[in-house]
Parts: sequence; structure tokens; C-alpha cells
Amino acid sequence: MYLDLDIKDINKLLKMKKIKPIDLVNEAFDKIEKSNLNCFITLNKEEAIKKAIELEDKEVDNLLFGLPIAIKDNIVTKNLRTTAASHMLEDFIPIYDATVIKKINDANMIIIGKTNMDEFAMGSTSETSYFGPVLNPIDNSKVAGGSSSGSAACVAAGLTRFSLASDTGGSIRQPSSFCGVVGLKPTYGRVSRFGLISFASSLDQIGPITKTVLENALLLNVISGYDVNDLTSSKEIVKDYTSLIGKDISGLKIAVPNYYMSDVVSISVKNKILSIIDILKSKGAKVDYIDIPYLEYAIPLYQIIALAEASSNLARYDGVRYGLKVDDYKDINDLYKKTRTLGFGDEVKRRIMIGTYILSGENAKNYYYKALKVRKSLTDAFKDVFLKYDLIIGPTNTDVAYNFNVLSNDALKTFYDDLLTIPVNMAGLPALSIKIGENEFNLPIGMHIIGSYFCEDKIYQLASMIEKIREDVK
Amino acid sequence: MKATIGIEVHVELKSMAKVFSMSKNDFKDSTNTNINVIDLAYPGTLPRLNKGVIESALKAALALNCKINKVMHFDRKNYFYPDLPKGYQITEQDTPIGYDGYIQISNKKIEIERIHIEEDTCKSIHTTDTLLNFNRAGVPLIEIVTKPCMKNADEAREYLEKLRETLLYLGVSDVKMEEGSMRCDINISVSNTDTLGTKCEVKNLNSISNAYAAINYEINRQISELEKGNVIKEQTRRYDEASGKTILMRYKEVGNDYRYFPEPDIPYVILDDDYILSIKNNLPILSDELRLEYKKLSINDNAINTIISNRDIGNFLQSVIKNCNPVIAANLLTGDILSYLNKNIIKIKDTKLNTENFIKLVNLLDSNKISNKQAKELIKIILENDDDIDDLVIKLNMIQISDDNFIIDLIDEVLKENEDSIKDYKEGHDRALKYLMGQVMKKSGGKINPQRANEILLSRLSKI
Amino acid sequence: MVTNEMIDHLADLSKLYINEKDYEKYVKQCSDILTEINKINLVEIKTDEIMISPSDNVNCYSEDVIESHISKDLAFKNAKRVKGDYITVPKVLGDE
Repeated sequence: MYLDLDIKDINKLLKMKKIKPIDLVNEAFDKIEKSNLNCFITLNKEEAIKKAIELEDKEVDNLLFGLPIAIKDNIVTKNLRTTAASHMLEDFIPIYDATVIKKINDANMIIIGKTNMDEFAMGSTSETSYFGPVLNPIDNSKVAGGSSSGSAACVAAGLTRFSLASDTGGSIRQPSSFCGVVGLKPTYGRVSRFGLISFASSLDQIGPITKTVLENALLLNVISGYDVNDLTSSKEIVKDYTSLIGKDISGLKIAVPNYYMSDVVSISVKNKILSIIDILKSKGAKVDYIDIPYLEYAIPLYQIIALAEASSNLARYDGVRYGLKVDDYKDINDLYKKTRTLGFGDEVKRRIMIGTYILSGENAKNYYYKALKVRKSLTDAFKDVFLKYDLIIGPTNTDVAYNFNVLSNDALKTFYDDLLTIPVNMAGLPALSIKIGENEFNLPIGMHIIGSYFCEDKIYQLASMIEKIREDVK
Repeated sequence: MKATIGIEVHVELKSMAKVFSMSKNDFKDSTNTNINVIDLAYPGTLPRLNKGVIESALKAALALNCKINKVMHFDRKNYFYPDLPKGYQITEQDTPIGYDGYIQISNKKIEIERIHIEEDTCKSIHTTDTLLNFNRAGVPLIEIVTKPCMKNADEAREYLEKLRETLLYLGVSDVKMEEGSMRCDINISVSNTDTLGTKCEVKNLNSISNAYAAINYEINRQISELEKGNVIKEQTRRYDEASGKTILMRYKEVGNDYRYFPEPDIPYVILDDDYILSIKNNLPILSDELRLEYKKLSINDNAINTIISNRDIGNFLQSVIKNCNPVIAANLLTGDILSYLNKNIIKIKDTKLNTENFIKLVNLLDSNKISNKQAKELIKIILENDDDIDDLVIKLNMIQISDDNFIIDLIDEVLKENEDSIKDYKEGHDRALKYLMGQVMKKSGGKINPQRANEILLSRLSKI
Repeated sequence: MVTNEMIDHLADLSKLYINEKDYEKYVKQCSDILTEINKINLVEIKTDEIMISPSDNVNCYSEDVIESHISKDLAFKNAKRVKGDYITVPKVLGDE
């Protein structure tokens, strides 16, 4: 199977015309059709085949040429249904392409479909998807994580080697960790958000999920860059993010926050991290345990900032210009309420209600502005760490993939999954999850590598080393 | 009982593009054509920020003597309404671009609390359904809020007139109330103590005269309510032009819960001192300054008022004022030229009039080389074609002769030929003088300066 | 104290209907969240600066130039109620 080969080998075969892009596309759709993981909401078969045939006349100009890629269903694709896994947008056909989609097309990659996710990216198991949950490819009885469940699971299952996803509090890294693939949340502003259906504007970031570190860096090279349509996108030059891959890590200064190794983390995860730390030290990296203030306020910070922004971002779904059609209404207010009550699932409604509550009356002054100050303090604390260290590491999650239906109706519990990933979004830092091994039940354990602003190249440097260690162990 | 009035004015800024999207800023174009995915609040869209709008708003804030917020962020004002596509309006709640300003009217300073940038909503048309035109969604607005500092309708009217004139002179808006590019809401309360009474808001007044009438009506209404012993509840009213009354729309419920918070999609706007100064130094001359300047130049008050209220004429005058007699220039512009423009409903730029010809014309009149009557004739020609005025004067044989020696010779000749008339004149017959003057003009072919000729004729006669 | 009236107010602001049976759930969840977010008020911080976004960008202007528009057909593509040149909604009182 070609899609299981190293991309350098696939590229050679394409260049030598031993295989054509259509072979890769057909293989991907064969695999998708045989899979029962519920990774996709909408397939792009007809267009993908058309594009693959068009590419036959083009020069194979880059390593990603002709390769199939899956796109999280909260990234808008012109003329290709985009639902954000919500009944609200079940029939929504975007009339423009997200900036990342244009870049993917320019790189001659082939979009094969839109991946399943938690509704409006709110959740960490895809159980809030209107289209049903994604199954974890390693153990179908477990969740694949979320919200980018389909994007992580389809790469883990080998349906495609590449996907795009989004991360607001851990939505790339947590499912990547649960599925054992490489997922990066880039620096805030590294990738344009234009065309990403907003959840929390100041936290959202699009990033790549891939099988390997090199692939991840290659895809980041493609999607990065300033975009006039996203005022928060950065003009910082786009480096070649593959440049440090495979480079020696001796002398690298690595910090481990004590909080990340505290009792919140399960023993098996902690032990695995410790064993990796030992190996890194043996390779010449300098590893220190440090305290980072304010880390423990991640959850209340997230609830205040993410949900307040979400309540506002989701106000546009009123059934007027797009969205669910309801026919039986008394007046405009009834139309709004029926559309939104029927169109949104319970988790989304709950978060809208809480976000509204946080901004209502005096609450904005009492909580929201204070949260923005704590956020500033947390960010400054991270900046201090990066004055002395190259990278921060720890576990991506407190534990491995769990069973379905374990998150009760507890409004708080659903956020605990993101305990270790949220601080990174608060500060806008880049961070990656990479598999470092499995627990006793063969479930993947992910390590979290956090870099300083725009230092994704250094993250990949360490991640590639871990990839190598993993292979050596095998 | 005394009244207290505060005014909120929304002004649409002139710009090529909208404020948070780069579609065309002209909502009067064909329905739903000046729109893009941002105006429709499509999922995934993010705002842009139009530099021209920031600049216009800054000009307005400076012209209204405001302090400037040098570090600004935008805020979201959240509420559901069909004319608000995003479900929130982007505005400046925390950091209005200008604050603590004022406008000078004849007897006092009207204090301006704040001036901020925000976006307009869709235009709604209410038929059996409500129809939405997104052309207006995202059109740049500035909101100018006064303190409750006006005491009567006269002050309010003067404030509105002055505000309108100032913004017109800045060139930042059309400020046409009848077309909605300037809209005003007025808060009125009455009280017989020092504490303010309960205010009633009269919304969407579409002319200054309606605002004036509405305030007077509302003050009287509130006073008579209070005198009847009734309590005034906070409410929103509208002005009905036909009856000249304000009409209750709704009582205000517990404060609106707009859930303002800082807009995370638009980075900070930082206005540095150099930039502010450069805008300030390049503000156009405003009406007050112009009035003073024209007065100093001895232009009469009527002409000044006409010039100030007519920017077309005013701008033209400004472009020539240094090169010719300002009084004559002002009189020509506010006289024959303005009536020509009004008659044809056109602007100066639609005519053939150019500054060079105009300056020459004024100078000809100023040096008495042509008569007023000839000037009238010439104006008509140079409005309609661009022949050089010097050529015209020669072609039409219009030059007046003011050379005294020439006039004296000519007069002496006439006197020699008309001794009877001299006798008649000496006997006190005035018509003899008119006759002699007629003969002089006839002999000169109408080319000598009649005023000068008259003076010389009198002096010659006195010596006989 | 979170009350049913408050839930009604929030539901109205959010334009959602709340099931009779869900009031209890919402009261509890809002109370829980309130307890959780109250922790924020106990945090001691040294700065008075707010952080609206991680972006360091400032003055991200576009010049005042008109860019492309979309056609009416495209604009109305996903709209559910269209009449002629307009997207429509049930009549609202014309008070704005």
C-alpha cells in the first residue's frame, strides 16, 4: 500500500511516474470505505478524483504533491459542505475557501473529505458531534479524543497521512495523543484563521496532524504565513520548519513544570515521561524541573475566556443568512429561539449559556477583565521560562484514551482533559503532541513539547529525536 | 422647571470601502450588491480594518477639540437583531477615539463626552416581511455623544448646526440628515431641582428643524405631566412630523445587557504623537476660522453666510482669494455665479469656469477696466466656455478707458460742440448734464470709464 | 445565587428555549461554574494589563480601497428566505 510508505518514497514513485496521484486517492477512498471509525462527515470523492487527474499533467514540484489530505469540518471549503458537526450547518455550502485551503490547493495536495469532530469544536471525545462519535482506531471501545477526533483518527488508521485540525484548548494535541499521531498547535498567528469557524477567537489556531514529524513540518511550511484577511496573523517570516529535524539535541535546555508531573497525571503516563526524560538527558539535553505560576488556573481561565468569546461567536447562527431552516414560528424572536434550540446540541447550548452568563451584567467587569489580567500574568511567566530554556515538556494529557460516556453531565469535568494543554493556548505558544509509547493496554501515551513563539523548528527537532528513540526501541 | 438635553449623533463617514470589510461604502447602490462574505457574517470570516476610517474619525475628534485615546481596541456589543449579521456590533466602548471635547456655540461650550468608531447595520425595509439590504452593513459610523449640558431647543439646534457644519468642512461625511448620513437621538429631562429628571429619548430625528420641534414639544409635555403630578418613566419616543408631536415607542426595561467585551479579532490601534500631529496640522480650515478671515477681508455678512453654507462656492473662493479683490470675488460668486449654478442645479466643477479667468475678471472690475454690466455678460460666457477672458474683452471691444488725459480731451471736444447745453446746465437744468454725459459716452464708443468721465465732466463744467 | 429567573434572562440573551426539566441542570451548572471562576478573583497578580489576544500585531490597517464583491446569487445561496433582491425575516417592528 503506497500510503504506508515514507513520503520521500511516495514522492520518488510519483516523480518516476510509477504511480499517479489518482492511485493514492483511490487507495485512500478504499480504506475510508472499509473503515468503520466514523472519521468523515463529508467525502470529496468526485472533486478529489478530478484534481488527481489534473495533477497528472503537472510537474511533481514538492514533497506533498498529489498527497491526500483530510480537513476538519470547521474549516470552510468552497462548494464542499462544511458542518462543524452541527445540525445547525447540516446543509451549509461555503461560498469561499479558507486561506489554508487555498494554500493546500496551491501545494497540489488533494482534499479527500471533511473530518468528524465535536460540534463547533466543543468537546474532547466527538460525542457532541451531530454525526455520531469517532472510534479510536487503536481500540474501538475508546474515544479518539477531540475535538479534532476524525482528523487524528484518520491519520492513525492510515486512511491518509495528513490532516488539518484546529486547537482551542487542546483539540489537536489531545486526540493526537489518544490516537498516537503527531499533532501541532502552531504559535497563535502563525496560520491564518480566515475560514476557520470561530469557537474562541483569541485561542483558536489551525494546525497539522500527521504520521511523522517531517510530514508535520512540511505541512506547517505550506499553511503558515501572514494573511491580510486575518489581522491577528503574524508577519514573522516563515522558516523552513524541517531545518532542525534530526539535529543533535545535546545542549538543548528543557524545562519540566512540576505541575505537569503532579498528582493530576496518571502513574503510567508519568512513568513513561520519566523514562523519556532519562533518555533525553543521556543524549546531552539539560532537563530541569521548574515551577510556572498560574498554570493551575487554566480551567477557570478557559471557562471565562473561551466560553465568553464562544457565546459571541455563535450569535451569527440565527437561521437568516445560512443555517437550519425552521418553518413554524410566531415572530422573529421565536424564529431565533427555535433555530438555535433545534440547531445546537446540548454541549454547545450549555457553553453559550455559560459564556453569556460570564459577560452578563457586572460579570464581565468582575470576571472577564480579571481573567485577561491573569492571562497576561501566565503569559509573562511562560516568557520568563523561555528566557532560560529552549523547550518545555510534559505529558499532553493526564491519562490515555478512555471509554465512551464517561464524561457525565458535569459541566466542569469536560474541561479537565485540557488541563495541561489550555495554558499553551492562553499564552499563544506553539506545542506538539507525539507518541512516546503505550500503557499496559496498548493505548498511546503522548508527550507535550511546548516551544517559544515561532520556534516550531525547535519543537520538531526534539520531536524527531523522540521519533528516532521510538524506532530504536522497536 | 428647567430642561436638560443631551444629544447622540451617528454620522456615516465618507470612505471608499466599509470599516471592517473592504466592500464599497455606498448603501444607496443597487440592493445587496456592495457586499462580501464579511458583511454577511459568513462562518469563518474575520474583520478587516480600514485605515481611511481611523483617519477620518481622528480628524473629527480633533476638530471637536477632543482628547485622543492613543491606544485603542475595539469591543463587541452583543445583541440579536435581524439587521445585525454577526449578532454583535464592533464598536469602541472602552477606548473611544476621542473624549472630553467641546463645540463652541454662541453663548457656551457644548461638552462632548465621547466620539467613537462603530459599524452601521443592515438597512431594513418593513413590508409584510422585513427585507434586509446588506449594502449598509459595515458602513463606518462615528457616534458623537454630548454631556447633558443643553438647556433648550435653541442651544440644541445651534449645536447640531455647528456640528454639521464642522463635519462638512472636515470633509469626513455628507452629513445629510434627510438621507440618514447624520442621525440624531435626543435625551430630554425636566426637573425643578438640581438633580436631573428622568430622561426620555426621542430617536431617529431626520432634520434639525424636527429636532428643534421635538425638543420643544417634549419639554412642554414633560412639564405638563409633572404638573399633573404624574411620574415620568424612562422611555423611548419618536417624533411624528405630521402632528408635530412625540409618540411613545416603548418604556425602557432594566438596562440593556449588551455584554461588551474586547474584540479579539482586531489588534490594538496605536496612534503615535507624530501621526496625530500630522493629521492635526493638515486639518482643513474650519467654518469658524473662515468666518473670521472673511470678516477681516470686509466681505459682508450675507455673503459670508452664503459662502460658509455652500462648500462649492467656498472652496472656489479659497482658491482665488489670495490673487484678487476678495470682496468683488465674493460678490460675484454669491451673486451671478451662484444663481447660475442654482438655476442649472450644478456645481462649479460642472461649468467651464476656471480660476485663471475668474481672477482676471475680478481684476478687470477692480481696476475699473470693465463695467458691472460687462462683467455680467462675461460671467455668462466664461461659465459656459473656456475662452481666455483677455481675448474675450478684446473680441467684444469691452476695455474701458480710464486715462484722464484722453477723457479730458474728449470732454472738451463735446463741450465745444454743445455750448447751449452748458448754458442750460449753468441755469440749473440737470438733464443738460445727462445729455452731455450721453454725448461723451457716445463719442467714446462706450469705452471710457463712466464714473471717471462724470467726475471730470463736472470739474470741467465748474471751471467754465 | 443562580435562580430560574436568571436562567430565563440568559436564555433570552442567548436566544434559546430551555426545557422545563433543564432548569435545575442549568442552575447547578451555572453555580458550579461560578464557584470555579471565582478562583480567578483570588489570584494575586502584579500586572494591571489585560491580554486580549496573544497577537503582538498593532495597526493592522488596509488602505481605503474597494475589493471584490460577491454576487447576489452567491450571497443568497444558503439563505432560507429570499424575496427578490432581499434576504427576509419575519416582520420586526421598525423601531431602529
